[in-house]
Amino acid sequence: MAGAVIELPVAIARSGSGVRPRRTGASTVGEALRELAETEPALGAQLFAAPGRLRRSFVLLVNGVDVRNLEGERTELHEGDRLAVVAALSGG
Amino acid sequence: MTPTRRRPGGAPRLTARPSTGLPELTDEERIRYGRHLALPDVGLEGQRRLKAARALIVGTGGLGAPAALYLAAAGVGTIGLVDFDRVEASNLQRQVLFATADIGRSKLDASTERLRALNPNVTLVRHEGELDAGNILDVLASYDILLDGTDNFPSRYLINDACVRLGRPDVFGSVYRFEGQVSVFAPPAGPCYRCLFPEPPPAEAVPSCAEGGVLGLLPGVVGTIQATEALKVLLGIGSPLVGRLLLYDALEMRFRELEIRRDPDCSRCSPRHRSDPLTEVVLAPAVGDPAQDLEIGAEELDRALRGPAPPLLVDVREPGEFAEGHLDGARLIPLGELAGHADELRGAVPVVLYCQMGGRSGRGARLLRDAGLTTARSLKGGLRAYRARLPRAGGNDVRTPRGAARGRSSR
Repeated sequence: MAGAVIELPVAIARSGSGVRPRRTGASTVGEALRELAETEPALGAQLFAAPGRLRRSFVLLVNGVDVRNLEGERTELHEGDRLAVVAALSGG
Repeated sequence: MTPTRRRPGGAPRLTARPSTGLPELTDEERIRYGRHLALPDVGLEGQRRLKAARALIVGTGGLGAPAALYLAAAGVGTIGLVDFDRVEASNLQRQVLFATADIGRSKLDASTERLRALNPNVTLVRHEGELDAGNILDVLASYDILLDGTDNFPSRYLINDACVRLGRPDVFGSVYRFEGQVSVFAPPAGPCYRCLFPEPPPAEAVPSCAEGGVLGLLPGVVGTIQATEALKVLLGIGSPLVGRLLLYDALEMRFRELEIRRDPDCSRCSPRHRSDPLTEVVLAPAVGDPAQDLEIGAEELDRALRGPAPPLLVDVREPGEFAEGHLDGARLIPLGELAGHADELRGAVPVVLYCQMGGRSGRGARLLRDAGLTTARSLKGGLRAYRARLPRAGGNDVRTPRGAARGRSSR
């Protein structure tokens, strides 16, 4: 499947299939995340506080730009785009 | 090679210390800091600026250890250290301030001894105990900059909020497994921590390094970058990581940089919230969790343990962690094996689970409640909070004989 690439933090990826990065045919950021949550529920539980509500302890970036500075979850994904999920880490 | 450069003349300094009235260097210091004096961007004035500077390092663990060593070596005049923990054998894989002989000693005792041996010119200020909403502003007020070397979200949010309130740069670093993050939060020049992560993840989604593991070198790399950023800010040179989050992936050996912006509606650094009183962040329980009494505080547990019907303590950490110190009378059942013991725990006295920080035991308590043990509870903040709040809690805190002996001999 062509399309965009999703990059997940190591800790999050391992709660799902462990694959990182992975490809998606989704056309928006929100669609890509929902698709991820449906195919891998354990991973979805980490990402979403409730159906459709992404936890605010994650930052989403498309090609290195925070989607809050783009169109949020409606930000479009195109062939070759990279959607990175950055998780807050607390270890020290 | 990209040359270092001073920030553009019009840019505001991130620290308020004036450039006049700086202390002179002694002859010994001129020799010691010779390589700095040879750097055009540091030179004599910069080194005097470092001598006048005051940096607060919160946590002397994986991140704080390398940061403290390099700031002391660099000649930062006053370094404040905040910690309440003792050195454990499992710290030595990454906490390079400490030696094997320090096991059982107070981290502040061991770290100040090591730093003083490294550079006796540096004034070391000990802050023994835990920072909270009631004391952090008083502690931070006399410092120019803070380096966050803590290991939990509530502390990180509290530190951010205090730094915003007092206008101090927060040199942030965090690690987990093979990944690290570094930034300098310094509103209004850039965003604060809450602009980046408005809310912490829920408690059950927060594995600690004790549970998830961390590559020993990782906090060394991240803590050293924090020290680099602190020196740059104190010297007023280069381009600090303000408005940028540096991501380090040790497995792929890749550094990435993300542009991060201020949130105009930030719940801390926006103008209308900047002066809000400080409050401590409590990690939310899992969505839909009806158990309001799932957690038991350190003081309440201490009273219950001294009462007529003490609860059964279950330590859900791994055997290696248990061996390094546990609560008196606790039974070891690692979280992964807890489900298999639910039947034998049912019908016994109330059960209180604990781990290092409260994350694993929270998950364990929910697991037991789902299995019908409706009174199972989790020690809030874990062993860490228990030791911090009740440092002299009778004979409940048991250490390995070796550690205990070394702890006593150090006093």
